Amino acid sequence: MSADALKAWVPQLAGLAVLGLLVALVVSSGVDPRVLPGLRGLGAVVLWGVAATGLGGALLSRARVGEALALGVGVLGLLLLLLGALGMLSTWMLGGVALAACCGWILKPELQVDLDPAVLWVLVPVAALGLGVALAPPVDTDEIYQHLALPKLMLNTGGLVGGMLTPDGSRPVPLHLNYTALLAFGGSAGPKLFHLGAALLLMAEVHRLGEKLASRAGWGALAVLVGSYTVLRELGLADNNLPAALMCLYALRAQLDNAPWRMALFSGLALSIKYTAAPVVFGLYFCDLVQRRDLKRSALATVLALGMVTPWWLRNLFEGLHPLFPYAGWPAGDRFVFAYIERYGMGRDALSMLMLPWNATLHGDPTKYQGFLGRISPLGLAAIPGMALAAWKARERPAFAVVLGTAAFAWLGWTLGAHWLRYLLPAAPLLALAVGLGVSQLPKWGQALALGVALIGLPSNLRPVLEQVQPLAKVSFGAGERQALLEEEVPGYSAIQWVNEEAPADARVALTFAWAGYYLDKPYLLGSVEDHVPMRHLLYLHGPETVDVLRQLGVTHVVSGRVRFIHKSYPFLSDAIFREQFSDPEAVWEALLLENATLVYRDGRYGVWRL
Amino acid sequence: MAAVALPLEPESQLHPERLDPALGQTIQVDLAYAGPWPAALSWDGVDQAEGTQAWVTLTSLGETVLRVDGAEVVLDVQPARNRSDLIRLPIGKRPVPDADRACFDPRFPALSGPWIVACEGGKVARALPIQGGEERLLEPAIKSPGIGASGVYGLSRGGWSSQDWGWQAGKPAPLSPVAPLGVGLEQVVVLTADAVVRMPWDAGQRRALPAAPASWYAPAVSEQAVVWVDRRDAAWTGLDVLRLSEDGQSAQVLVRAPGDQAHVAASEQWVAWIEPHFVVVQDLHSGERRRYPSDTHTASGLSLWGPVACWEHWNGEDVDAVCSDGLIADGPGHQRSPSRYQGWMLYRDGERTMVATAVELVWDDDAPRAQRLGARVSGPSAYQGAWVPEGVRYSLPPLEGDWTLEQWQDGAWISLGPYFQDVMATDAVRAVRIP
Repeated sequence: MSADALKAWVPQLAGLAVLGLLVALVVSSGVDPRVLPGLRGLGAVVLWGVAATGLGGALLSRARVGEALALGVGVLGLLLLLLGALGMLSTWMLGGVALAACCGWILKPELQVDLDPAVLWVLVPVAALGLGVALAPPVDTDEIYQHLALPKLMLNTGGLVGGMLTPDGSRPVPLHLNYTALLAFGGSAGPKLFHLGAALLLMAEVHRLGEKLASRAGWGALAVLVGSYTVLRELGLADNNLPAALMCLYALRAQLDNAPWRMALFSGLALSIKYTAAPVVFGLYFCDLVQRRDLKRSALATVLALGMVTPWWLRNLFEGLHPLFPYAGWPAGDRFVFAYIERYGMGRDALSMLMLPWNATLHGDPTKYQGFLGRISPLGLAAIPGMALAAWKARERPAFAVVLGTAAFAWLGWTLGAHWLRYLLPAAPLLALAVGLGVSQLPKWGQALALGVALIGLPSNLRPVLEQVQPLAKVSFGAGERQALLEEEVPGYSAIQWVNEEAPADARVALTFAWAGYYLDKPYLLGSVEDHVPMRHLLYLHGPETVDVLRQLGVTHVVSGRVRFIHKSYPFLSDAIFREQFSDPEAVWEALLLENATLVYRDGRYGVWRL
Repeated sequence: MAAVALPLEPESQLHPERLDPALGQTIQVDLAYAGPWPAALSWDGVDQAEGTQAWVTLTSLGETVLRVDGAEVVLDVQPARNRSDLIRLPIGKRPVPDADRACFDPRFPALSGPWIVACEGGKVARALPIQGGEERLLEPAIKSPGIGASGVYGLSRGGWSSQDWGWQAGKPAPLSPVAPLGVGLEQVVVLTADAVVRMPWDAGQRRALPAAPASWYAPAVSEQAVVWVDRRDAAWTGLDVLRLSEDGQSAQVLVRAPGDQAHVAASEQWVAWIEPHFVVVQDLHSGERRRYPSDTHTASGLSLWGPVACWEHWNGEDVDAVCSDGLIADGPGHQRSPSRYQGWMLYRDGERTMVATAVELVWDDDAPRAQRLGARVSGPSAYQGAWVPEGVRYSLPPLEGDWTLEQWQDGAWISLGPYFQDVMATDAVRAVRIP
């Protein structure tokens, strides 16, 4: 082997050496056991990251490292769909997939790293914040019922899950299949650290693209991201909003680079990770068509993008479900919708829609449905005059037109759906870049004023994040008790633990009106989606026979929670409909359990019943 | 499930369902047994399914001795017996709105002596006198403390004694309980995954005994016993009930039989538990085990006042709160979580907290507190069809409030004057509350 050839292998060998070191650290007995989960998670992230980047790099041949990683993750998601359909999701098989994906490095893709070191001054503290969450045991509702629960359930059952009895699994789950591998290799810290890495990558890429578009646009965009509670609360969680946002950003970048196939690939991946990316994708395609005026190109790109999502639709069709189940609702007319969009925000009349930017910024409250269940930086409002100026210049700067146009579509799409600020996250890079462009067009004094506004908004956005991070960070860094945290923060944790420890090894569990599937070590049915639809739907279908139906499905134990739905949370429903859909089903289920099952454990609102 | 090395000793006592069965009656007899399972006893009538339980039909009057492997029990077979159906006591009911607020821990609100321990903001924070009067604020409020007749206790913090509801601080005890605490007059019992830990209220000296307590089921603590539900042999016999030996050095099997025995309670010389289809109350002095048939599948606890047990009973349509002395709260909807002290029973009726107050309490010669001085004689005017000419000595419990005492004589209640505790009568006696 020549010296040059050897030199070319140096980075790969170095990577392998680092990986080997991590593995050695993990298996060595001298490591503090409190550090082990974090190290194991980090090892899993490095392994899976190297594999995905190798695969994505091989497919793209020349790309930014982030793009290669993102595409690799998307393609691995599709490959694992196949593996899952064959019931072959095991740690060993996933290891084989990782190894195969690593082979992409053999093709020596040209990968660029393009990072402004100055941005590290922002990203390092942000990463520290996220680490406190990522290294803690999962307590976030979405993690414990969906983002980590699904991967764990798929690992436990060895295949895909879904259908009426596990509706969460019928969503497109390419990212969750990646999380399955990360969970298998690294425990809960694996997916959480991976997501944190994706979030930091997103911020760095938004900054870089912003600065490329206009001076200080990157800093403005970064400021709006790190100044918003709704973005910060995602750091360190295993979620899918920011990964979808990253895909949207790369789709935008590809459009700006006039790379239609990449745009299509990343658009399709964004959609398959989170359907709420649809307004961004639609806006981007619209802007692309207007700008390039090439209908054939747009049509082919659309076909390719939809091709990334189609396998998930086909899967549902094969299982006799609506392709868009569970989002399209449950088969019972209008009784069981995926979510009541009227619950969120401050109204849907024309004036409320017009006032949305103002209301969402000024009245955002992470604890209230009327408060959009979130909070964002007021920098967006302050940058509106600048955005108008940027729009004025859009004729000379086509990139401005694409960014602002796509951001406008994204915003419009969000206003038509549920006014939950989290649903805006896939569009976050577009909106942040639009704000950044706005800031860049302001005069110096205007920029100073905008900075002042951003700083004023910082405490109210940071405070709730710090309140949420504090108890988790305590546990992450060894100052708090894991058990106490879980008992305090995870609803029904004690009941779930009872099932894990006391129920027979072959027990099969149904989770009714209960979220915390992630902590269940046994296979289970049902669980919850928005408004606990799965159980309400089962009761609607089978009424008093529901217990018998569960018995026939092999269920031996039920973990059941008491929700006590309150009408004021659904003020748009009449008394009769509220009773029929919410309070009556819960009461009926409670009565059925009392009549037909034996209470074997109870803690607070949660009980375990033996059928 | 990890096996725990546990110093178990078989008891030398047989436990008959009745010490004074009637001629022709069939009773269940249990042997506390800690050996390998299935039991291989040289006892006629023992089968593999019943294990250490047997059914005995009494065929001759007077003393009958049952012997098994060195253990023996003497039965006093009676010529007549009382009817076994519960006599339903007349009661008054009233809501307690001050105790309606929901608690994080569904065991509350509950009675601690004559006090209703209730919640504020989900935590246990108040004690309300059941007869009315000034309430006591319990500070600091605790989310899920242990509760007993002697007071309320929170691990690592301390507790309030129900004597005066004064706070008694406890040292931090680094224990991870798997069940609610057991609270006695002088000691607190903590069940961990692998031990039964006893400590004084100040948590100063802790004594641990290796065991395998089942989670969720609180231990029962009285002055005469510490009892808990154990899962050591769950694979063989389901959950069993163990008792701390008198010297506190070992665990003894109280009941080990097929199916789950759970939800233990203790008061004075009696302990109780729930087993499939029955609530059982055992007299620790005599070894007698009273069985009350019931569908208890909804139960999340068991309350005991002396020999009187109260539990949740599924009546085929809904849940009733039922006591073994005939104090019953039923009606539409579910009456749940009964908690008993003297003539009062606290329970939840839907989202409301209620108190059922017995207007009278009745004891006949069959009552656990009765000691017969002769044989029963059938008589049509006798309270439950039988009386004891030689007399019955009743050791009645102390009762708060004003009561009078009456005895059954010739088909009518005859006044004995103000209530007193040591009573001699030939038939039943009753206490009547003075309004």
